[in-house]
Amino acid sequence: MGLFGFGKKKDKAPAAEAAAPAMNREEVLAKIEEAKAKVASLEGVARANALIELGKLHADIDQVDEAIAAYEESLELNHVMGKASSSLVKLYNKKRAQAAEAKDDEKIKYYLDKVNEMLALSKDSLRGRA
Amino acid sequence: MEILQWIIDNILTQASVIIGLVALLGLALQKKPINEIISGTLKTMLGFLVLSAGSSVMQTSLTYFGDMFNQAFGFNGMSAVVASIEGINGQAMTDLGLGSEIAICLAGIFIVNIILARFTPFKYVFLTGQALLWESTLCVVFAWFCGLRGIPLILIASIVGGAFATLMPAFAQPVVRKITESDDIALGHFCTFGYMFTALIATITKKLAGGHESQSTEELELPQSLSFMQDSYLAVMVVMIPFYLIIAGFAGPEAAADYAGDVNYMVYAFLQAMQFVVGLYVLLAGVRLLLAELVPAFQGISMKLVPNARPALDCPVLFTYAPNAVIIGFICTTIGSLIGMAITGFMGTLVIPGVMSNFFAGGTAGIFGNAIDGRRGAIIGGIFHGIFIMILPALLSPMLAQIGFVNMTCTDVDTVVTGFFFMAIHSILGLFGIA
Repeated sequence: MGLFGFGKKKDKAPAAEAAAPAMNREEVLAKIEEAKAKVASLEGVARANALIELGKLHADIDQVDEAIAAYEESLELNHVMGKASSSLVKLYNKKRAQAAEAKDDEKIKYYLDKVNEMLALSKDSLRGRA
Repeated sequence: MEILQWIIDNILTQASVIIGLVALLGLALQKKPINEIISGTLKTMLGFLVLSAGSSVMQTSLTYFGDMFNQAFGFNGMSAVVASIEGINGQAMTDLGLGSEIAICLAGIFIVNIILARFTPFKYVFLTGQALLWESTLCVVFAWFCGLRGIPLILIASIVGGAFATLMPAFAQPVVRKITESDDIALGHFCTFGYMFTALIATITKKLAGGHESQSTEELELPQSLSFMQDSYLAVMVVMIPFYLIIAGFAGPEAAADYAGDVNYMVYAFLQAMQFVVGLYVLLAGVRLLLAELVPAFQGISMKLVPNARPALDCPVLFTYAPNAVIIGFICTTIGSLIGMAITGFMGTLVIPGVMSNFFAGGTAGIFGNAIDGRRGAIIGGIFHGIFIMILPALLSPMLAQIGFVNMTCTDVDTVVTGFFFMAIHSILGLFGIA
């Protein structure tokens, strides 16, 4: 049983993981270039929405810093809670976990504060103050 | 020796000093510069004193309210309590003299939470400061009520509070995972039993509908005009003013003569209702000051000691995922709590809804209902949630009155469950002749 389960896992997982992301990454990188061009051509809320798409693509291939930059710019242009703020909470938490692993107190505090900012934004925009 | 004894008798018995010392410890552990340690400690002490001032304003108004209620409806032994966890905290920290214990227990809960998150499979670190203060209050109050004093009181209260801080986010996580579509963050808000009750009702409505989930609340267009109720203080006023006026009307001018003096008794009732909100406002300003230095200190420490933990965050973290469900949940919970109030009238203690927490607790309940069964879950689940969060505090209020709370009961239901938990353990131990 154990051996069978083990073998089965080994068969499936690495093959899928090794092949698929490699293909995907290329595709995603191409899409990122497209999205960047789109962002550059737009302004205001439309640009903010395009930045959310760009952020998602970066996040898909684990480019956390680039994703955060895109979402943050989107929030600056359109200061409402939504996809950008909810994604940022998750990404800030990821950075916070990395900072904790590295025992970097400054960074832990920085990202915890960032998460708290997003909570405040949620409160304010539901109360119509954003 | 005499000097030491004098310090112990006159300074260390002051709750504000103990609370300041807890803050000082937190700041020193973070190796903050000396000027920040001093200012942080002083601000925390100031916060406690502001909180006390707010609590006493609130209590003056509530004493009047309770007296009027008794004169109007007290003939059959019925009493009225206002549901406000803020007020419970204020009275416990000042009038019951448990301020020091509550502050030390708050630190104790952090420590127990970190230990549990580090060494058990429940990797949740609770980061919502206010909620922890409420939980610490109830743990200390009930441990004290069960006869514990001194170090055993602090230890037991911290362990129970720490266990709640670790297990409540874990309890909600299956639904939170569904809402956020990830397992990265958790919910840290001590209304979890209410949220899971809403989810349960939504599961039932979904079953009754043949397993088909209704449409999500997020496909609705909601009118903007509802937003004025989202200001918590305004909502409290909208509820308290009519209650005060109705009860003053029934009690009549003679009943209020001692309080009102030359002022018209109805005008006086109106002003007292406003005083209640003033007290709440000041009290919460105090709580914010009190926690402003303590919480970031502990947040930083805990996230460093348990790097792989999920942070359990305050409920607005979920608002982004379903803003319409928040509005619907808030409205339905308010409707439900009015129904619940009517039911509590038959239970001997009329509970006046604490609308302060309705927006956050009701809104989050709406998100839970929506996650399981769309708008049907948010609406029906929300109404049942409103009833639930009134019945539970009503059941606890006789015990709170016995402890010495004046016309007041809890709101956040996990803290109510904490009270029941202590009482259950106490009676079980009593059966064996231990307690």
